[in-house]
Amino acid sequence: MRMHPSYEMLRPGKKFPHVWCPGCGHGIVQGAIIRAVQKLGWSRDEMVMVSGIGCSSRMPVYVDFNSLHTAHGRAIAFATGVKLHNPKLHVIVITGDGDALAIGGNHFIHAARRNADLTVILMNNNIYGMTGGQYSPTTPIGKRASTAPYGTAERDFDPCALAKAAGAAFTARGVAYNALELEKLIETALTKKGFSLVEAISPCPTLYGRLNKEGNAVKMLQWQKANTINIKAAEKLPVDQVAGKIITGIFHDVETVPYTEIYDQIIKKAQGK
Amino acid sequence: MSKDIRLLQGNEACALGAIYAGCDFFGGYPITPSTEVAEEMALMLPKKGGKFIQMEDEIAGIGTILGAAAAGAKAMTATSGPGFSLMMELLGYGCMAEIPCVIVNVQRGGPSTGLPTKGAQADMMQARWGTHGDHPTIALCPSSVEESFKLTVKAFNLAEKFRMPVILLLDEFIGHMREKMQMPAPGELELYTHPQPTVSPAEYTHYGDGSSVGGPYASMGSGYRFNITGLTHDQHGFPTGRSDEIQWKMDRLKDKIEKHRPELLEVDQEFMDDAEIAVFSYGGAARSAQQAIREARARGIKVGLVRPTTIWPFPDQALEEILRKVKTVIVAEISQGQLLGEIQRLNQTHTKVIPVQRYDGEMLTPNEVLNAIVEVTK
Amino acid sequence: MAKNTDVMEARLTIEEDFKKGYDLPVYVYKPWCKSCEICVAFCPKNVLEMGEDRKPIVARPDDCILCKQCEIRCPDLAIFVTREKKK
Repeated sequence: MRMHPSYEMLRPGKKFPHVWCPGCGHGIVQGAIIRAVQKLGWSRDEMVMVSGIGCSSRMPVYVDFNSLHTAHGRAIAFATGVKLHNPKLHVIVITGDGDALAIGGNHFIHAARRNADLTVILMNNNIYGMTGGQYSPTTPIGKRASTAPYGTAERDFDPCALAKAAGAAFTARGVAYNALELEKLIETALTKKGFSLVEAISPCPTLYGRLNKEGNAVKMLQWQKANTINIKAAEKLPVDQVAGKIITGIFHDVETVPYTEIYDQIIKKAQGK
Repeated sequence: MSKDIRLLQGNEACALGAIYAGCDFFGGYPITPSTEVAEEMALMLPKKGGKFIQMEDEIAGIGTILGAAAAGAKAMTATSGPGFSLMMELLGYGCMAEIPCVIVNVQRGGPSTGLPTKGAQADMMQARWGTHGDHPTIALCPSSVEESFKLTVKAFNLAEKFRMPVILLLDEFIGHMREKMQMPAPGELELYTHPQPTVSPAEYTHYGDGSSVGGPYASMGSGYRFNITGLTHDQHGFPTGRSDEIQWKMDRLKDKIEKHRPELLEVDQEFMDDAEIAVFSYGGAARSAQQAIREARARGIKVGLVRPTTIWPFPDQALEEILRKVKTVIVAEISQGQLLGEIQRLNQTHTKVIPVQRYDGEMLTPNEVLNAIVEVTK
Repeated sequence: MAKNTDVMEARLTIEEDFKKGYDLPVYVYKPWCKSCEICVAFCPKNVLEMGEDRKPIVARPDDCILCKQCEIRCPDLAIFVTREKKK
């Protein structure tokens, strides 16, 4: 008989189920991350999962890696220190749209600029879940939130475009519905040198879904299924057929020398070697 | 062996002390009057194979050293005024998560942007109470360039042993003052590095050691996998809402200071044997107090200096004993009375306490302290 | 709400069930299931349906093609396929 393959990667002694609401996409993303690491065959001792604050950031305690649940917005700053001190470690940052793009926006763009060798998994549910459904930097204009009862008046960020503009080596987007594509994107991102971002669109049925009348978890995933186009297909379609859809796939992928390797050269220079 | 004597700034001595202590990671953000610490570290760390990183702000500065320290680094950041304010949340994180590191605050005048190039001693209470929640603090205050070096070494030792951030509360006066110092030879000053666990990874609990002081703890990447969180947590580092576990954690944080006060406290005393007047002072201000006391002694006035180099935890017992013993206490500081407030709290015997303060950006002068001493004798 | 369990307890329970002869192509570890119905909705062969306890039951095991769509999409790691596809 076959045991659930992800169980070997779960934290011993930690009680499950995890804190996320029924049907929350974050659990699907967690599964994709676990499978990607298993596929790469990396040792759990070399894995570090660093998170900030928010729903998504609760993930590290459930996974049997080295885990660092930091303060709101600061995961990338902590992760930069972990990686620079011990470049042998594989450092994954788990963050959300509020954590990475609002309070942590400065760290996000600067880590991309200096090309810190981190894999950032940004779980985008378009809302602040933990605090009860306030609008975030990725809540689309006009959508409702507890602090936007008449719809938001603000425009939203495209995290992948932002990261690319700031200097990231790799940006990609997946959706919880297509967990296998997401897994593949995460696997590719993990092997990339330099700053890599995978934006995982993750439905929040409890708050975003309810406030915007998008239905339950199943309905929200069905919407993703019907409204997601891979970038390769999207490039061949006329603009009007792509409007309003979620584009997935790899947007940006360049070979770079990561910060940690450049710093190694600086050490050699300082030591006169 | 020839002595290694150098003319150094307090900030440079601090950086050299950090290197001596084995600091191998610095993260920070430039801010006057602390910047020389970062500049020295940027120069020296790569030579030693260590890492220096200039972050995008002070929050990232302390964040990145906490990450590096969790991965096993001896890590430090340095800042001043507004930067120290920005670091408060993560200072609390370091206390809660029990991550050793050293935070240097070269105090300047405030509030707000205040006096970037002028000194003050007005962050004493911020060092103690700046972050939210009940938590312990260790803060050390040097009064000379040599002490800046030595207390930086001590700060690293205490951070490693007590598993928490330790604040080196410098001030602009000492930070930018140049004086000669003899460099301690390698091995001359004691260095403490926390032991690594010896139990198997399956048996290891990151916060499980009953005595949290001087015990072993693992670094991330060492083969011991564990969770670190700023949420109140149990011995495994798992978040908890159970009141018995919350009580355990909060007592653990408190007790590591309260039960180890003797080894933390250090109060320097000069001319106190027969003193009838005691001048309480610390950091930069203590230098003027020292000079004033020498001059007063030359005039036959029985006055001595009481100078805590550990300002937090506050040396209650030692200072209370002196308050009982002497007739008058003069509190000399470069603030509107942060040290004074602590002395008044301790002054159950109602000894006469006279403040001598300056907060106009200038150094308190020996004459100002001397005048206060002479006034008492009239 | 069922009692929370750690992964060791989950494994033991599941292995015990296997030993007792559990032989369906899909296994639901109920203590971790939050009844979101994603597995039921996205099964391409309609193998699953919701039981009276609001947990999925393997209603049509013979139709299962071992595609693992339920397994990869369950946010709670509460459902998995018990056999590998024959190659």
